[in-house]
Amino acid sequence: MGFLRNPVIRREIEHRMRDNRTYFIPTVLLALLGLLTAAVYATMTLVGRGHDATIQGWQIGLAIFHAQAFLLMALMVLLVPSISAGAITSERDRGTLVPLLVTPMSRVRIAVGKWISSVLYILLLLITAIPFGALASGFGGVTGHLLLSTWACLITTVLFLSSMGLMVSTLVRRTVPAMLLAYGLVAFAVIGTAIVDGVLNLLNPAMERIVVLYANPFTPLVLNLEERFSTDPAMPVWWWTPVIHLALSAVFITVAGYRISRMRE
Amino acid sequence: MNSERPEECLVRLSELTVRFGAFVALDRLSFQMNRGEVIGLVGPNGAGKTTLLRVLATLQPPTGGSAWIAGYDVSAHPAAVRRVIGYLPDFAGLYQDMKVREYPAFFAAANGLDAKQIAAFTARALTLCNLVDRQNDFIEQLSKGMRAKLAFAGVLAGDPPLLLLDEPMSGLDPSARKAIREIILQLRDEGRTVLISSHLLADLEQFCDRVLFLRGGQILSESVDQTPVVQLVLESEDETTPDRLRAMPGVADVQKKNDVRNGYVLVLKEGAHVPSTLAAITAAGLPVMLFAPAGHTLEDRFARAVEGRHP
Repeated sequence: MGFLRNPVIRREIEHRMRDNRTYFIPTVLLALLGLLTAAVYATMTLVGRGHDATIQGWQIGLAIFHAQAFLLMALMVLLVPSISAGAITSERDRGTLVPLLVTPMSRVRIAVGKWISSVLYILLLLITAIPFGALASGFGGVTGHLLLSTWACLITTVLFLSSMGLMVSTLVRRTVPAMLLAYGLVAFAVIGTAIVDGVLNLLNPAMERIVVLYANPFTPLVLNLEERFSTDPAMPVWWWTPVIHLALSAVFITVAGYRISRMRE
Repeated sequence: MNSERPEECLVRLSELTVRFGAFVALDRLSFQMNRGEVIGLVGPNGAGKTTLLRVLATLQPPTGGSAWIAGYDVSAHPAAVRRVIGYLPDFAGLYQDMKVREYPAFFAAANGLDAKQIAAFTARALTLCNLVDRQNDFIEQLSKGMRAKLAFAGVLAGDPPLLLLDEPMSGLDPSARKAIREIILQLRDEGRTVLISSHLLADLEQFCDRVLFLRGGQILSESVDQTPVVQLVLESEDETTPDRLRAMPGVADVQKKNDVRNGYVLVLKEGAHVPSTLAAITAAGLPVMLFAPAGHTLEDRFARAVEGRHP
């Protein structure tokens, strides 16, 4: 818990714990997960009856797990930019940035503190979803590989999006434009990469997958859904997305650190 | 680094220049500040006061010349400079959702103090700012004056020897101004070095050792230059009167006061003996109705230095 020595992290955690939205967002998340889980379960059992076929428990568990993974990823994509893109701009908006910048605390430490605190909050959201994930696993069908790959992708997506939000927060002076830019970049990561991939595949059908598509947070979830696991044990296909996201996170954090170290107000 | 400068000199500016495109905010500014001095910065808006404070607070790199604080070049060693300054900007926001006692503690932690030191500093800062009774309230519950005092508490974290205060009393009611004034007086008595900009000249007069008058990014004069000025009103005058007054002992300049009948302003030489001048004028047969020292308030000196007029 040494990172709690960073006063920015402590301050941000205290701030979040005093904000009603901190409790509202996980409540909504859990409600959505609960409704989704119930809906998938009901659909699967109804489909099974309609076809007079036997739906196995593991099939229900797998369907719930995939649905939860897509919902969690969609919520991360929607929530993380709003949480991280105002990290620095909100300090500037309320006039607290200058007093912070003139303290002896390293500016990189300020930036990293902001980033870690937003990541911690998002991870808290993900942790609250674990019981529902366990429910899905209880039905069977969720392999260790699937569990590991999905959670690795969720966590690296959080790191990727929050570091991107932080970087945007150091590039733009005000919070609203920072949010707009962050959501624009997220839209490119989710929709733009798919469009670019589609266009490039039209031009060159031999190119089945390109790296740009692996920047899309949903790509590994689709691959998992299609059970398209790589046979190469050294580098399974789903690894590409976490690796790309971690690399981009490192770039974004570096840019944010550089920007804040040159910041005057 | 430190060996370059004498111990008592805490701040030194040498030909300090800041340009924003064609606009010159600071124009080859040079002055020194000794430890324990309280210096006021006075000047019209756009004179360069805030820019000067921002340079010293490592927020604005100079485009020419140099600024040194405690032996560190502000441009070359900003991190070292930040350890010896406390800067209160003209608009210092506060974290509204923080409790009062958490604010100085946060800045103490940001200054690298350990838990014990943070507790000691917080208690001391809240006592100094008279906020002990409100320490468990949220900042959003405080009045504007109390928030100004709390912002002060944050600046003192880390016990910086140099305080840079930009308009700390601006927009406050008289009682809040008085409270801030008392804090500054106490800090002065503790031997802190303070550079403060303000338009409230009467307040500055109470705690400043020196006041620098700025205009167009240059220091026009210092308030320590207290050239005596006398207001003289005669019962009658003729065309020879100005020349006769100029010939009096100790008189450096004579100006006619247009708003007073037969009135003059006598600018005396530095070190002039005022009673001797008065005696010489009456001995010369000039009918003196009023002979009164003038121009010694900071406001008068500001008018003389910045606006170029005598009171």
